[in-house]
Amino acid sequence: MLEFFFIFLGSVVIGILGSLLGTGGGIFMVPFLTLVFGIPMHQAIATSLVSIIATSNTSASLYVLKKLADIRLGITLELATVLGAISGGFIAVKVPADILAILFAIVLLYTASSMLKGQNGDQDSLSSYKPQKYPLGFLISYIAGGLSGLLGIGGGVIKVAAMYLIMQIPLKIAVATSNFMIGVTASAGCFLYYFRGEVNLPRTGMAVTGVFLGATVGSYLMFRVKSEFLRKLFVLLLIFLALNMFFKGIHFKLF
Amino acid sequence: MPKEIAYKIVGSVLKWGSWISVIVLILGILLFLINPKTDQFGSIPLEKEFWKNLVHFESLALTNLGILLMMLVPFFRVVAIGVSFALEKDKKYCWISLGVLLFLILGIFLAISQV
Repeated sequence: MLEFFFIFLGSVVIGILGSLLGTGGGIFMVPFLTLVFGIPMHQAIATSLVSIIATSNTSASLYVLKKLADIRLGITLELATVLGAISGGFIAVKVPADILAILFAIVLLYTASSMLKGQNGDQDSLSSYKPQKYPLGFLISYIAGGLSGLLGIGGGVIKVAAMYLIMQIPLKIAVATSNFMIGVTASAGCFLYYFRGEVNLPRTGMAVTGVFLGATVGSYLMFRVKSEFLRKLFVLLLIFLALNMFFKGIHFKLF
Repeated sequence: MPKEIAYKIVGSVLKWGSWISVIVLILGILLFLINPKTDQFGSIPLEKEFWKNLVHFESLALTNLGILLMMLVPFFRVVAIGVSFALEKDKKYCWISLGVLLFLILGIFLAISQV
């Protein structure tokens, strides 16, 4: 009983973070479930995928209604991600996953340092922006889709960084647009787990209720916090993920 | 059609979709907490037992339905995006949405076929 209560509490926090960072919170949910509660990996991923969808549905509803998420940009990059996820499975990858993880960790650290410097101009003016370098953004989203299958990370982090650093999209728009997309990406993989019967119903129910509450709070906070704060929070996330990938690459287990 | 109607349609689908799923889900979870079970997986909608349990307001069947509804919202979201771009007569984005939708349907189809 107590376990359900703590899953709920943790999910509220993950929902807030997910809606503010545009990543859905899968990076936190899987370690939370496996390390804290000892839930088997497959079940944890299944629960995590459903909660990503819930975070996306909940926060994106407000972001779309308030026109913070860019639907056209989102659906275009989503097409690239889906294509990447599918072809990633077919193209035989010559680079072993652990080397890929270490390379990715380096890219993430570089991204973190670019994010730290920030982007030109006032980040809180959301009225006028025009996506730059569309083809490059499309290509990165495609790679993000492929990587997510290989490294088990959602493409959200990569897409937010690409939209912000390369396509010159204001951070809040990038986060909202990513939140809008990740639910669609996660749902493509989620049904596989669902029909295999790997969704633990009460635990997932608790997690979904938690992230629903968290994402509702988070998406209201989104309109109150400064982009400056979000940017720093995102840098922390990138460092966390880089370390995570690095340890994965050298097969170092903390627990 | 006025421009930007897409935001209203898609936003409403997301809002109502998540609220309806969560309400069904919470109902199931509350019933489960009142009367906990050792089986935590229940049956999926492809099995007859699921529908029988659902009619009897069984806790896990309700939780399952809530989760399934939540999982279907992204699907309806893409449908809503396609429809609203069609209403806005924006051909290019209508095709893009259709592409994403096809891949989603393919994903669901593959998942069911391996059961």
